[in-house]
Amino acid sequence: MLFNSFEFLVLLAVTLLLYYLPIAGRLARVWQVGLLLVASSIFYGWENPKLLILLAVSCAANSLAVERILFWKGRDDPGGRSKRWLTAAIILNLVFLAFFKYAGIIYGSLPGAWISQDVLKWIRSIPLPIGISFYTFHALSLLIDVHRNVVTAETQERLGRRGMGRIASASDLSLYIVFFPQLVAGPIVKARNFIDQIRAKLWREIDWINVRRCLVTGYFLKIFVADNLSEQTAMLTIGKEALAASGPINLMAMLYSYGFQIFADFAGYSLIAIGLGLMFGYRLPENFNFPYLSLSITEFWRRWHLSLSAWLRDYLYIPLGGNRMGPGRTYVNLFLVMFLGGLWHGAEWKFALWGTLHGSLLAAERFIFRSRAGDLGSSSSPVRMLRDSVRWIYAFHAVMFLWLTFLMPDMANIGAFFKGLGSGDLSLPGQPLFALFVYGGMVVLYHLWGWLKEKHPERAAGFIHPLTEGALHGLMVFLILTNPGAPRGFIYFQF
Amino acid sequence: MLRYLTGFVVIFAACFGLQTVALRLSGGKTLKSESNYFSSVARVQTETQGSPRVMLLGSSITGRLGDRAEKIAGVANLGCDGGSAMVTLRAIDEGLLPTAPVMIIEANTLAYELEHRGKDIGKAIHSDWFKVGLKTPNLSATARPTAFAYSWLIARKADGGVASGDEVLPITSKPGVLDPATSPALDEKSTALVEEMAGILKRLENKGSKIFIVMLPGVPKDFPRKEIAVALACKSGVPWWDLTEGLPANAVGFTDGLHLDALSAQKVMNTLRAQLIER
Repeated sequence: MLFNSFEFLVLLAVTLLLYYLPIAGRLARVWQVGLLLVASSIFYGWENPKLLILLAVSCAANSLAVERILFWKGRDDPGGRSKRWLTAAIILNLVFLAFFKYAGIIYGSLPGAWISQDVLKWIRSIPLPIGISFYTFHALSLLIDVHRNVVTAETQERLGRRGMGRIASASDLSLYIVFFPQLVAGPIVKARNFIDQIRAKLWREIDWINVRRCLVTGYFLKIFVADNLSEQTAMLTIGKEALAASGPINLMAMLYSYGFQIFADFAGYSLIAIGLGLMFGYRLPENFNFPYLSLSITEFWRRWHLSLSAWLRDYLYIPLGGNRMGPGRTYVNLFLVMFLGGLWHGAEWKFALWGTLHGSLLAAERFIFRSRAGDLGSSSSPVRMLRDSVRWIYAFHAVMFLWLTFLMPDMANIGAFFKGLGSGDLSLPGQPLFALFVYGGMVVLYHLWGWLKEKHPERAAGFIHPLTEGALHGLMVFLILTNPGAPRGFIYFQF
Repeated sequence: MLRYLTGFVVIFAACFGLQTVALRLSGGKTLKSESNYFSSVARVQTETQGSPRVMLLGSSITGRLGDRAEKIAGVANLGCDGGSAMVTLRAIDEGLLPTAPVMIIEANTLAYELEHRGKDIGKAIHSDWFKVGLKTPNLSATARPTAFAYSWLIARKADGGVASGDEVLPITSKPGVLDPATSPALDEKSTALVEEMAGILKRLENKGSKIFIVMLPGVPKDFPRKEIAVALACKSGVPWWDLTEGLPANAVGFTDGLHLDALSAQKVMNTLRAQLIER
């Protein structure tokens, strides 16, 4: 089910009405958790109810593992059984992910003699359970956080209940994994930041100001910006002959449009998810912080898909040693984390290449900026402005051109893109340029707002007034209703 | 909260008010949207209003005739950018769109249907949003605020305006029924498509429509497959007219190798008017 579909609006309205029914005492919490589990199941299983089986197995297996980990941690545990349970559960989650998402690429990379074409065809026909990458990361976060003792004692007590209490603990744990606003495409919430929030919620506690900000901006970015840009950027994937025959202005307009589209699509989704979470009393983490303001790739990853970056840092980069084991190992860790982060996006080598190239730039920047750390703070204002402009142009275009590896089916198409860039055909393409200015312009305005908030917060505060905000939202809702793009799914749903 | 709502309602209402005025000033329809998809949906939504005498069904090649040639009263242009006449033919056959006494089917892109091109537009015609747009013009595809802006830009372009004049194409061919024995051999998939299309044409003829299959100037280089249209004409017995037959190379001009420029679009419309529309 899509956030921008009619059936979702019906599900949301019904769930919200029932959620805040005046139920007294401890039953309120049970009712609300149960209702969210039902609503999340309808949301997830709407197109293909069979997918619920895998989700249910994941919830049940992780619930058992968490209970066992807590059980053994509460005892002497000389044999390290809690760690064994943790390891087994992590392996199980990764096996699920590998089988459903990566089996095709793993077996497809083997020599032809090792595996028959029929088996390969069967493996490739296995449908990808939507959102499996996201809920697997949720489950891993839960297992590790519980094992690391970073959830509160109260939550540990609740998740470790046995007997009849296990139903309640399994419900809480399942809600963390399947909570519908973040189930399919994040934000990836760490267990310690979600489970401690589970309690009875009250209507009067809803933060309506942030709900409307998130929902209006999120739907505007998705429906008005991303969906309208997608018709133009589809031309980037129509074939290498057409790309090679296109002129540089046309190609760059489409490339910038794709960069703006993927931001608007994913940031829009994340904002809608955060707004929906707030409606039900749950705070989900911010996922984007004006990423195209970045002056380096390092900064880009502190602003883009923040919840994934934080997950990779906490559960992969730091356990690998982070930057504590010398410069050489740091570069290897950066490279490895970005390679796996790239592959997390999809079971195709192009995503691994995308991640690896980002990892290479991160390592290169770390090397350069470390060796020049003393120079950076000593410049005068005009020099700093010039230097920042150059750095922004570098970072923005590096990100844009690396989107080619993310988008294009193969290297031949990327080659055709660059061939077209050098074609010398300087004709002005009407539709792509118009779309870039109108729809991409909204992403630029959004980032200018971010820049103002960061650099001149007092001036930005002057713009925030209920009347102007209401007027702006009125305009945005008008454009959502009268100028939507052709309805499309969210790009990150495929991951 | 009150101040927020005041700002919201005032601007929201003002936007709809401005849009309504703009729609009235533009005669209830915009020329073109930056989106091929919405341009097509807009054509289908606006052109099927009232009771058109003649319908032109086809792709953006047909759509160009409506965008750049002088409007002829009672002639509806249902060109679907990126698609083919089959998109609207199916919708008419299903009763989603009205029929017309004369229907001119563009032959150039009928083969696109083999690749289901234009299915998004077909899907849109089936949607509730399409029906809402028919009843509420402000929510129709033609009333998109960006369509007003894009139409204004097109109208300002030197070659973007609508042409006029009486010049026709310098050709001598006339519409005629093809001999079924000359039907080209087709593969299984193409044959099935021709069977389906012939069935739809038959049903439309039974409802009283006079149908013509017309090859317009402009051949899609990526997927010509003219034989499918010829086979359809042979199979259905519907009159066939090839406007490219005997057409001198410099008699028409294109803006991009496929779509006619304004002057040529006008010539084609004049030719169609003389032979098919005002018969």
